[in-house]
Amino acid sequence: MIWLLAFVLASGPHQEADTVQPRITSPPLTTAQVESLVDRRSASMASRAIDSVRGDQKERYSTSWLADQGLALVALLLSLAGLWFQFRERSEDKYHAQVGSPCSEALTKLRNDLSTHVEELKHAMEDVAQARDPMMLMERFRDVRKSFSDCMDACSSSMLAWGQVERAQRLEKEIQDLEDEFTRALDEASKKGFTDGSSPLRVLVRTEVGILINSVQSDPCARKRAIRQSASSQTGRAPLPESPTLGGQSEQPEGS
Amino acid sequence: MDLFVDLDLYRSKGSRVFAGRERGAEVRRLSGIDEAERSGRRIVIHIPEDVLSVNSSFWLGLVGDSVRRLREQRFRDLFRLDSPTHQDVYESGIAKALRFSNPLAPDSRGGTGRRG
Repeated sequence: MIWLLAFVLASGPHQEADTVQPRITSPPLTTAQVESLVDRRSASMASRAIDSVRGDQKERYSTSWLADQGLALVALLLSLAGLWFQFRERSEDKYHAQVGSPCSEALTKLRNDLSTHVEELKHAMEDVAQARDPMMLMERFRDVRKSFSDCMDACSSSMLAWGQVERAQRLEKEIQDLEDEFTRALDEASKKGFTDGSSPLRVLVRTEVGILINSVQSDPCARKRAIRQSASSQTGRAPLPESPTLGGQSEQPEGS
Repeated sequence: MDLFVDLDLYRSKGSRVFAGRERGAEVRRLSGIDEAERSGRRIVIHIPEDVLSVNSSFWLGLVGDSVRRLREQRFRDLFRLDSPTHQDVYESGIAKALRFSNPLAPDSRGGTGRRG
Protein backbone atom coordinates (compact mmCIF):
# COMPACT_ATOMS: atom_id res chain seq x y z
CA MET A 1 0.00 0.00 0.00
CA ILE A 2 2.80 2.40 0.95
CA TRP A 3 4.59 1.39 -2.23
CA LEU A 4 1.42 1.99 -4.19
CA LEU A 5 0.92 5.38 -2.57
CA ALA A 6 4.52 6.28 -3.15
CA PHE A 7 4.28 5.12 -6.71
CA VAL A 8 1.15 7.16 -7.21
CA LEU A 9 2.67 10.22 -5.60
CA ALA A 10 5.88 9.79 -7.46
CA SER A 11 4.38 8.93 -10.77
CA GLY A 12 1.28 11.15 -10.63
CA PRO A 13 2.83 14.48 -11.49
CA HIS A 14 5.24 12.93 -13.90
CA GLN A 15 2.43 11.06 -15.52
CA GLU A 16 0.37 14.24 -15.52
CA ALA A 17 3.31 16.07 -17.01
CA ASP A 18 3.63 13.45 -19.62
CA THR A 19 0.03 13.72 -20.51
CA VAL A 20 -0.40 17.55 -20.16
CA GLN A 21 2.86 18.71 -21.70
CA PRO A 22 1.91 17.83 -25.25
CA ARG A 23 -1.25 19.98 -24.89
CA ILE A 24 0.69 23.08 -23.64
CA THR A 25 3.71 23.11 -25.98
CA SER A 26 3.73 22.89 -29.73
CA PRO A 27 4.28 19.63 -31.31
CA PRO A 28 7.93 18.95 -31.87
CA LEU A 29 9.25 20.83 -34.82
CA THR A 30 10.84 19.16 -37.70
CA THR A 31 14.18 20.22 -39.02
CA ALA A 32 12.58 21.72 -42.07
CA GLN A 33 10.20 23.74 -39.94
CA VAL A 34 13.05 24.96 -37.81
CA GLU A 35 15.00 25.91 -40.89
CA SER A 36 11.98 27.68 -42.32
CA LEU A 37 11.46 29.51 -39.05
CA VAL A 38 15.07 30.56 -38.97
CA ASP A 39 14.84 31.65 -42.59
CA ARG A 40 11.74 33.73 -41.91
CA ARG A 41 13.28 35.23 -38.84
CA SER A 42 16.50 36.02 -40.59
CA ALA A 43 14.60 37.26 -43.64
CA SER A 44 12.61 39.59 -41.42
CA MET A 45 15.74 40.80 -39.73
CA ALA A 46 17.44 41.21 -43.04
CA SER A 47 14.44 43.09 -44.40
CA ARG A 48 14.47 45.44 -41.43
CA ALA A 49 18.19 45.95 -41.87
CA ILE A 50 17.73 46.66 -45.57
CA ASP A 51 14.88 49.07 -44.83
CA SER A 52 17.03 50.82 -42.31
CA VAL A 53 19.90 51.10 -44.77
CA ARG A 54 17.53 52.22 -47.51
CA GLY A 55 16.06 54.93 -45.35
CA ASP A 56 19.51 56.12 -44.54
CA GLN A 57 20.42 56.05 -48.20
CA LYS A 58 17.23 57.89 -49.13
CA GLU A 59 18.05 60.66 -46.72
CA ARG A 60 21.60 60.79 -47.98
CA TYR A 61 20.40 60.66 -51.57
CA SER A 62 17.91 63.51 -51.15
CA THR A 63 20.60 65.71 -49.59
CA SER A 64 23.00 64.86 -52.39
CA TRP A 65 20.28 65.47 -55.04
CA LEU A 66 19.61 68.93 -53.65
CA ALA A 67 23.31 69.72 -53.63
CA ASP A 68 23.59 68.53 -57.24
CA GLN A 69 20.61 70.65 -58.29
CA GLY A 70 22.05 73.66 -56.52
CA LEU A 71 25.36 73.23 -58.27
CA ALA A 72 23.61 72.78 -61.61
CA LEU A 73 21.62 75.95 -60.99
CA VAL A 74 24.76 77.90 -60.11
CA ALA A 75 26.48 76.55 -63.23
CA LEU A 76 23.46 77.52 -65.33
CA LEU A 77 23.42 81.04 -63.92
CA LEU A 78 27.14 81.41 -64.51
CA SER A 79 26.71 80.21 -68.09
CA LEU A 80 23.88 82.66 -68.67
CA ALA A 81 25.91 85.52 -67.21
CA GLY A 82 28.82 84.53 -69.46
CA LEU A 83 26.56 84.43 -72.47
CA TRP A 84 25.10 87.83 -71.58
CA PHE A 85 28.52 89.43 -71.32
CA GLN A 86 29.57 87.74 -74.54
CA PHE A 87 26.39 88.98 -76.21
CA ARG A 88 27.06 92.55 -75.08
CA GLU A 89 30.57 92.39 -76.42
CA ARG A 90 29.47 90.87 -79.69
CA SER A 91 26.51 93.25 -80.15
CA GLU A 92 28.95 96.10 -80.72
CA ASP A 93 30.72 94.06 -83.41
CA LYS A 94 27.39 93.11 -84.94
CA TYR A 95 26.27 96.72 -84.91
CA HIS A 96 29.40 97.73 -86.75
CA ALA A 97 28.93 94.96 -89.32
CA GLN A 98 25.22 95.52 -89.88
CA VAL A 99 24.77 99.26 -89.35
CA GLY A 100 27.97 101.21 -88.78
CA SER A 101 29.84 99.79 -91.74
CA PRO A 102 27.04 99.98 -94.37
CA CYS A 103 26.03 103.48 -93.23
CA SER A 104 29.64 104.67 -93.27
CA GLU A 105 30.08 103.22 -96.75
CA ALA A 106 26.87 104.87 -97.96
CA LEU A 107 27.89 108.24 -96.52
CA THR A 108 31.42 107.92 -97.88
CA LYS A 109 29.94 107.17 -101.30
CA LEU A 110 27.69 110.22 -100.91
CA ARG A 111 30.71 112.36 -100.08
CA ASN A 112 32.59 111.11 -103.14
CA ASP A 113 29.51 111.45 -105.35
CA LEU A 114 28.91 115.03 -104.23
CA SER A 115 32.50 115.98 -104.93
CA THR A 116 32.07 114.53 -108.41
CA HIS A 117 28.75 116.34 -108.85
CA VAL A 118 30.35 119.66 -107.96
CA GLU A 119 32.91 119.11 -110.71
CA GLU A 120 30.22 118.00 -113.15
CA LEU A 121 28.14 121.06 -112.30
CA LYS A 122 31.09 123.28 -113.03
CA HIS A 123 31.29 121.79 -116.51
CA ALA A 124 27.50 121.93 -116.89
CA MET A 125 27.56 125.61 -115.97
CA GLU A 126 30.19 126.23 -118.59
CA ASP A 127 28.02 124.45 -121.13
CA VAL A 128 24.96 126.47 -120.09
CA ALA A 129 27.01 129.67 -120.30
CA GLN A 130 27.97 128.69 -123.81
CA ALA A 131 24.26 128.37 -124.58
CA ARG A 132 24.31 124.65 -124.85
CA ASP A 133 21.66 122.38 -123.37
CA PRO A 134 20.22 123.92 -120.16
CA MET A 135 18.78 120.52 -119.27
CA MET A 136 22.30 119.43 -118.37
CA LEU A 137 22.12 121.55 -115.25
CA MET A 138 18.87 119.94 -114.18
CA GLU A 139 20.30 116.52 -114.84
CA ARG A 140 23.24 117.30 -112.56
CA PHE A 141 20.83 118.36 -109.83
CA ARG A 142 18.89 115.17 -110.39
CA ASP A 143 22.12 113.23 -109.92
CA VAL A 144 22.66 115.07 -106.66
CA ARG A 145 19.14 114.16 -105.51
CA LYS A 146 19.72 110.56 -106.45
CA SER A 147 22.96 110.41 -104.49
CA PHE A 148 21.25 111.77 -101.40
CA SER A 149 18.27 109.49 -101.88
CA ASP A 150 20.41 106.36 -102.28
CA CYS A 151 22.37 107.27 -99.17
CA MET A 152 19.18 107.81 -97.15
CA ASP A 153 17.75 104.50 -98.35
CA ALA A 154 20.92 102.58 -97.44
CA CYS A 155 21.28 104.13 -93.99
CA SER A 156 17.60 103.88 -93.12
CA SER A 157 17.27 100.25 -94.14
CA SER A 158 20.35 99.29 -92.10
CA MET A 159 19.15 101.11 -89.02
CA LEU A 160 15.58 99.89 -89.33
CA ALA A 161 16.84 96.32 -89.65
CA TRP A 162 18.73 96.93 -86.39
CA GLY A 163 15.52 98.25 -84.79
CA GLN A 164 16.69 101.83 -84.41
CA VAL A 165 13.63 103.58 -85.76
CA GLU A 166 14.13 106.93 -84.06
CA ARG A 167 17.78 107.03 -84.97
CA ALA A 168 17.02 106.15 -88.60
CA GLN A 169 14.48 108.98 -88.73
CA ARG A 170 16.94 111.40 -87.18
CA LEU A 171 19.74 110.42 -89.54
CA GLU A 172 17.43 110.70 -92.54
CA LYS A 173 16.41 114.18 -91.41
CA GLU A 174 20.06 115.14 -90.99
CA ILE A 175 20.84 113.91 -94.50
CA GLN A 176 17.82 115.82 -95.81
CA ASP A 177 19.03 118.96 -94.04
CA LEU A 178 22.42 118.49 -95.63
CA GLU A 179 20.77 117.97 -99.01
CA ASP A 180 18.86 121.24 -98.56
CA GLU A 181 21.97 123.10 -97.50
CA PHE A 182 24.01 121.61 -100.31
CA THR A 183 21.35 122.27 -102.95
CA ARG A 184 20.86 125.88 -101.85
CA ALA A 185 24.62 126.42 -101.85
CA LEU A 186 24.81 124.76 -105.25
CA ASP A 187 22.10 127.05 -106.56
CA GLU A 188 23.92 130.09 -105.21
CA ALA A 189 27.24 128.84 -106.54
CA SER A 190 25.77 128.19 -109.96
CA LYS A 191 24.42 131.74 -110.05
CA LYS A 192 27.92 133.01 -109.37
CA GLY A 193 29.25 130.82 -112.13
CA PHE A 194 31.27 128.68 -109.75
CA THR A 195 34.11 131.17 -109.61
CA ASP A 196 34.21 131.19 -105.81
CA GLY A 197 31.23 128.98 -105.12
CA SER A 198 32.71 125.52 -105.38
CA SER A 199 35.20 125.80 -102.56
CA PRO A 200 32.62 126.31 -99.75
CA LEU A 201 30.66 123.43 -101.26
CA ARG A 202 33.61 121.09 -100.91
CA VAL A 203 34.16 122.20 -97.33
CA LEU A 204 30.48 121.70 -96.59
CA VAL A 205 30.50 118.19 -98.02
CA ARG A 206 33.73 117.22 -96.28
CA THR A 207 32.80 118.48 -92.83
CA GLU A 208 29.08 117.72 -92.71
CA VAL A 209 29.30 114.26 -94.19
CA GLY A 210 32.33 113.60 -91.98
CA ILE A 211 30.26 114.41 -88.91
CA LEU A 212 27.49 112.09 -90.08
CA ILE A 213 29.99 109.29 -90.68
CA ASN A 214 31.34 109.69 -87.15
CA SER A 215 27.85 109.63 -85.74
CA VAL A 216 26.99 106.26 -87.30
CA GLN A 217 30.28 104.56 -86.51
CA SER A 218 29.33 103.16 -83.13
CA ASP A 219 26.29 101.77 -81.44
CA PRO A 220 24.68 104.50 -79.31
CA CYS A 221 23.85 101.86 -76.71
CA ALA A 222 27.53 101.03 -76.33
CA ARG A 223 28.44 104.70 -76.16
CA LYS A 224 25.76 105.28 -73.55
CA ARG A 225 27.03 102.35 -71.49
CA ALA A 226 30.58 103.65 -71.72
CA ILE A 227 29.47 107.12 -70.60
CA ARG A 228 27.51 105.64 -67.69
CA GLN A 229 30.39 103.42 -66.63
CA SER A 230 32.80 106.33 -66.86
CA ALA A 231 30.47 108.50 -64.77
CA SER A 232 29.96 105.78 -62.20
CA SER A 233 33.69 105.11 -61.89
CA GLN A 234 34.30 108.81 -61.30
CA THR A 235 31.52 109.25 -58.77
CA GLY A 236 31.79 105.80 -57.22
CA ARG A 237 28.06 105.30 -57.75
CA ALA A 238 26.34 102.37 -59.38
CA PRO A 239 25.72 102.78 -63.13
CA LEU A 240 22.42 104.39 -64.04
CA PRO A 241 19.77 102.12 -65.56
CA GLU A 242 19.19 102.25 -69.30
CA SER A 243 16.07 104.06 -70.43
CA PRO A 244 13.75 102.01 -72.65
CA THR A 245 13.14 103.31 -76.16
CA LEU A 246 11.74 102.10 -79.43
CA GLY A 247 12.73 98.63 -80.52
CA GLY A 248 14.45 97.96 -77.21
CA GLN A 249 17.35 100.13 -78.21
CA SER A 250 18.56 103.08 -76.26
CA GLU A 251 18.71 106.25 -78.22
CA GLN A 252 21.14 109.07 -77.88
CA PRO A 253 21.30 112.37 -79.69
CA GLU A 254 24.03 112.41 -82.24
CA GLY A 255 27.02 114.59 -81.84
CA SER A 256 26.37 116.46 -85.03
CA MET B 1 -12.70 119.85 -110.65
CA ASP B 2 -8.96 119.31 -110.21
CA LEU B 3 -6.87 121.42 -107.85
CA PHE B 4 -3.93 122.93 -109.69
CA VAL B 5 -1.01 123.77 -107.41
CA ASP B 6 1.52 125.96 -109.20
CA LEU B 7 4.71 126.01 -107.17
CA ASP B 8 5.79 129.13 -109.02
CA LEU B 9 3.43 131.04 -106.73
CA TYR B 10 5.22 129.85 -103.63
CA ARG B 11 8.89 130.13 -104.38
CA SER B 12 11.31 132.66 -102.97
CA LYS B 13 12.48 135.34 -105.33
CA GLY B 14 15.34 134.18 -107.51
CA SER B 15 15.42 130.70 -106.00
CA ARG B 16 15.56 127.71 -108.29
CA VAL B 17 15.30 125.07 -105.62
CA PHE B 18 12.47 124.00 -103.34
CA ALA B 19 13.86 122.79 -100.06
CA GLY B 20 12.77 122.34 -96.45
CA ARG B 21 10.00 120.27 -94.90
CA GLU B 22 8.48 123.29 -93.16
CA ARG B 23 8.32 125.18 -96.43
CA GLY B 24 6.59 122.22 -98.09
CA ALA B 25 4.06 121.99 -95.25
CA GLU B 26 3.39 125.70 -95.55
CA VAL B 27 2.70 125.39 -99.29
CA ARG B 28 0.40 122.47 -98.55
CA ARG B 29 -1.59 124.60 -96.12
CA LEU B 30 -1.70 127.65 -98.39
CA SER B 31 -2.70 125.74 -101.50
CA GLY B 32 -5.60 123.91 -99.87
CA ILE B 33 -4.39 120.38 -100.59
CA ASP B 34 -6.04 119.03 -97.43
CA GLU B 35 -9.49 120.25 -98.41
CA ALA B 36 -9.14 118.96 -101.97
CA GLU B 37 -7.97 115.59 -100.68
CA ARG B 38 -10.89 115.35 -98.27
CA SER B 39 -13.36 116.04 -101.06
CA GLY B 40 -11.69 113.47 -103.29
CA ARG B 41 -10.55 115.95 -105.94
CA ARG B 42 -7.54 115.22 -108.07
CA ILE B 43 -4.52 117.38 -107.34
CA VAL B 44 -2.04 118.43 -110.01
CA ILE B 45 1.25 119.88 -108.84
CA HIS B 46 3.09 122.00 -111.34
CA ILE B 47 6.82 122.66 -111.09
CA PRO B 48 8.16 125.63 -113.13
CA GLU B 49 10.54 124.65 -115.88
CA ASP B 50 13.48 126.65 -114.58
CA VAL B 51 13.43 124.96 -111.17
CA LEU B 52 16.59 122.94 -110.75
CA SER B 53 15.56 120.82 -107.80
CA VAL B 54 12.63 119.86 -105.61
CA ASN B 55 14.21 118.24 -102.61
CA SER B 56 12.78 115.28 -100.75
CA SER B 57 12.33 117.37 -97.59
CA PHE B 58 10.10 119.87 -99.41
CA TRP B 59 8.19 117.15 -101.23
CA LEU B 60 7.53 115.20 -98.03
CA GLY B 61 6.34 118.37 -96.31
CA LEU B 62 4.02 118.97 -99.26
CA VAL B 63 2.50 115.50 -99.78
CA GLY B 64 3.97 113.21 -97.08
CA ASP B 65 0.82 113.29 -94.95
CA SER B 66 -1.30 112.41 -97.97
CA VAL B 67 0.89 109.42 -98.87
CA ARG B 68 0.69 108.12 -95.30
CA ARG B 69 -3.04 108.70 -95.08
CA LEU B 70 -4.09 107.45 -98.52
CA ARG B 71 -1.38 104.80 -98.97
CA GLU B 72 0.40 104.35 -102.27
CA GLN B 73 -2.25 103.43 -104.85
CA ARG B 74 -4.86 105.92 -103.71
CA PHE B 75 -2.20 108.63 -103.59
CA ARG B 76 -1.20 107.82 -107.18
CA ASP B 77 -4.85 108.04 -108.17
CA LEU B 78 -5.31 111.49 -106.65
CA PHE B 79 -1.96 113.24 -107.04
CA ARG B 80 -0.16 114.01 -110.26
CA LEU B 81 3.15 115.77 -110.75
CA ASP B 82 3.14 117.96 -113.83
CA SER B 83 6.85 117.81 -114.59
CA PRO B 84 8.70 115.03 -116.35
CA THR B 85 12.06 116.27 -115.06
CA HIS B 86 11.20 115.74 -111.40
CA GLN B 87 9.36 112.43 -111.49
CA ASP B 88 12.12 110.88 -109.38
CA VAL B 89 10.99 113.03 -106.44
CA TYR B 90 7.43 111.76 -106.82
CA GLU B 91 8.51 108.12 -106.88
CA SER B 92 11.11 108.17 -104.13
CA GLY B 93 8.85 110.39 -102.01
CA ILE B 94 6.27 107.62 -101.73
CA ALA B 95 8.78 105.13 -100.38
CA LYS B 96 10.28 107.69 -98.01
CA ALA B 97 6.92 108.79 -96.66
CA LEU B 98 5.87 105.20 -95.97
CA ARG B 99 9.21 104.12 -94.54
CA PHE B 100 8.52 105.22 -90.98
CA SER B 101 4.75 105.15 -91.06
CA ASN B 102 2.85 102.60 -89.05
CA PRO B 103 -0.05 101.15 -91.11
CA LEU B 104 -2.05 100.68 -87.91
CA ALA B 105 -1.65 104.28 -86.79
CA PRO B 106 -4.94 106.23 -86.65
CA ASP B 107 -3.92 108.73 -89.33
CA SER B 108 -2.98 105.92 -91.73
CA ARG B 109 -6.35 104.18 -91.77
CA GLY B 110 -7.91 106.57 -94.21
CA GLY B 111 -7.25 104.36 -97.21
CA THR B 112 -5.78 101.12 -98.35
CA GLY B 113 -5.20 102.04 -101.94
CA ARG B 114 -8.18 99.95 -103.02
CA ARG B 115 -10.91 102.49 -102.55
CA GLY B 116 -12.58 104.23 -105.46
